[in-house]
Amino acid sequence: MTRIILHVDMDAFFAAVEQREHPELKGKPVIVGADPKGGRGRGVVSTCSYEARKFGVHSAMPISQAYRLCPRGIYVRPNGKLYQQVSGEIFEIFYEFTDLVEPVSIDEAFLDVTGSVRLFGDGVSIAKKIKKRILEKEQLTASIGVAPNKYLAKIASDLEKPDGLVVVEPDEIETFLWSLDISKLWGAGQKTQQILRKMGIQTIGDLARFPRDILKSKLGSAGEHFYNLAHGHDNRPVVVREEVKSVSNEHTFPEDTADIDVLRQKLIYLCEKVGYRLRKKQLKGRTIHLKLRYENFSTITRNLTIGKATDRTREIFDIVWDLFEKNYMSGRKVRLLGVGVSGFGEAEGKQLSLFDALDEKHRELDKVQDMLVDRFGKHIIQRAESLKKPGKKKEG
Amino acid sequence: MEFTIARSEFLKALQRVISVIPTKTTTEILYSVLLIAEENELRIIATDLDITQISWTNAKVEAEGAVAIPGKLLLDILREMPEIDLKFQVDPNLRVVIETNMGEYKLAGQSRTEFPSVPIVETEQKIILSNEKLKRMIEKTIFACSTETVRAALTGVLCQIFENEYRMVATDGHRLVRIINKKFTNPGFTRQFIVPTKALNFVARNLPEEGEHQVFLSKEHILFELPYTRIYSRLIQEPYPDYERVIPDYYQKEIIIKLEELIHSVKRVSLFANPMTYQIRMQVNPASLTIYAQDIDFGGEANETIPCRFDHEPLLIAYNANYLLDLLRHMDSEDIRFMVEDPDGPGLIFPMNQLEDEDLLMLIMPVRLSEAD
Repeated sequence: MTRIILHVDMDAFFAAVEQREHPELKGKPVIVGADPKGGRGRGVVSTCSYEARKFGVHSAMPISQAYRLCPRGIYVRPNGKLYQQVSGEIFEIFYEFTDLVEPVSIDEAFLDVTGSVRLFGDGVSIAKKIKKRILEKEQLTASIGVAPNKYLAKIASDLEKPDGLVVVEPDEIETFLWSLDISKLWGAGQKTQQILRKMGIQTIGDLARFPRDILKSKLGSAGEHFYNLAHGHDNRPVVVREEVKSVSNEHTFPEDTADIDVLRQKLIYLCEKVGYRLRKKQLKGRTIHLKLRYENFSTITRNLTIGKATDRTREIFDIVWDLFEKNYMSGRKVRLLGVGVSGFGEAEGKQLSLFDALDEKHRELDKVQDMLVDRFGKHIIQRAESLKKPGKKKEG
Repeated sequence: MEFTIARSEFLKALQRVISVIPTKTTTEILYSVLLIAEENELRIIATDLDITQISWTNAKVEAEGAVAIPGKLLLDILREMPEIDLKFQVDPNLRVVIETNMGEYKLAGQSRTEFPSVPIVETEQKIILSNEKLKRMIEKTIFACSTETVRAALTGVLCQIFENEYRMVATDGHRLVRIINKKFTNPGFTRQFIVPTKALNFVARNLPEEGEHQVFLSKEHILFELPYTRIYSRLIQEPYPDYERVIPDYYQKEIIIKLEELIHSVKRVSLFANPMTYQIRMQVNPASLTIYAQDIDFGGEANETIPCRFDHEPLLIAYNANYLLDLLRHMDSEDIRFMVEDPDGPGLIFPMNQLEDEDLLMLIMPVRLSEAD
């Protein structure tokens, strides 16, 4: 069966986030990376805005070189925490469409949406929806490639950046792929490219038409792999990271609301969704999260860790509702609600206390004493200390 | 009241007691120090009602008397002065004038009757301790005390005078330190009492490197007689938990490990632990110890393996890295013996080689791992 794979790649992610956070940077060459120190800085460019790319600046370039090319650029130190947080928000959007999400990096992922078509429409529609959601929710743009496999999706997402959407239909693979330069060959570094070019191979089409045996003898098993890629064959599945950190769902209201019934209904709905996903994944979590964003975008997140892991909708809702009631500022309009469960696997263990054990023993002792007293009367057993005669008390 | 004194002498004596002044109090007078000039001696007293400290120095006393003045202001003015003599006078209206050859400073004093009185400690119960030893015992214990006032007893250090040893014990319920001074001459009585950590901090600060000092005990107070200073503290009158019962004595399994290596590994790995729990796991194998940390919420994880000696079935045990580091940092032995019996029981830490006259034991409670592990 033909799969539908999406490769979503955020456009100049770090720089775009900086521009979003600091509107005065919009339309300006923003370079996120090391401190250029007036051209003497060490370190590299981590990401730069498209405006900076016009000056020839690109990621991984030494910051000093970037500074020579674009001395008027705005140089910003990376704010990893912020990017991580925004990335989390974006991945949440992916999970709205499929659970088969393979993160490639902080701003890039493969999505297998083959099974989501009936719910959300074909690959292109899903890609459009994802782009729209990212823009609405995070005011950022992404480029998406839609193709029957990961390799083609990855190439496609890169072709019309920024804000691109490129679709490779199963029957257009050759026309799409073969005109491309071999530098677009996934996994082929400078060295491999050199070898291929010496063999007269300039485009992926050249490679596809090249005798497979010769490729194999020149490049070993990699030769076979590249040959397959050149023909657009790539069977690698979208691998969901085994360790799920949290399961959560969010809802943005079409219109901000302060209607408590509406909010409650939506929380129930979100808990049902999260509970269902937990049960589907056979996960139970101990920390329940509530996210609440007011109309002015001020956002609060609250969580509560419970003793026993759960996947039950009712339990999750009870806690979420409790968190909501304790934290919601009554009357304020809400823009977004979110519910999440985390704390799987390595549950935060319980810190044991020395005197818990002692208390435990005391409880046991009390139990035994009570039992004996019930049966034989109150003089049958007493603590030795209570036998000490008054007046002979030891000093201190 | 009138006396003349060199600025540095005055400052030195004041600095000894200044930290006893509480940072926040509703009893205004406690912000003041009481100055008493008598017989060519100046005494300075500060108190927070629980702890009272007196320090003294020589001064040329022209007229005896006493006055209470704000401690912080006095400290600040003395600090800012160059090295000169100053004349300190108080008129019958408690108007204070400090005179130097640069000028004069005036402030309002308060009567000594306003100032809380110094506790009376009978000299009957007296013990003599080595300065060096007590300093060491304080340093090894106070960090392990509890800061939660719910269990008042645990906010102090338990001191025990036995027939022929002197012990100090501190615990917050999660870790415990017991240090025994075996070279101790019994003063003719046995007793146990709890000294607040704050008082021990002041004592440690004022203890010289060498020599001995005397300690006096009354029912409710302890008094440390130190060079040029005396520290009184109220004792904590709460029952101390039966700590002996929680120290297991049947342990067989022993991990021998290089202290520095363990500290550094735990430090590095714990950077990746959940910042709320600081939980780390230790997998103990016959020749190696692997330390893991994982932060599910933020996706960080780390592990390190260091050599060790362990002759038993592999064992997995989890600790709060902060508690563990606190203990390890207060060990001063090249190798340590870490004894564990099961993942839910306390871990015992000993220096590989105890000092000749000492017995040091540290105990840490583990974190119980859930079934998922």
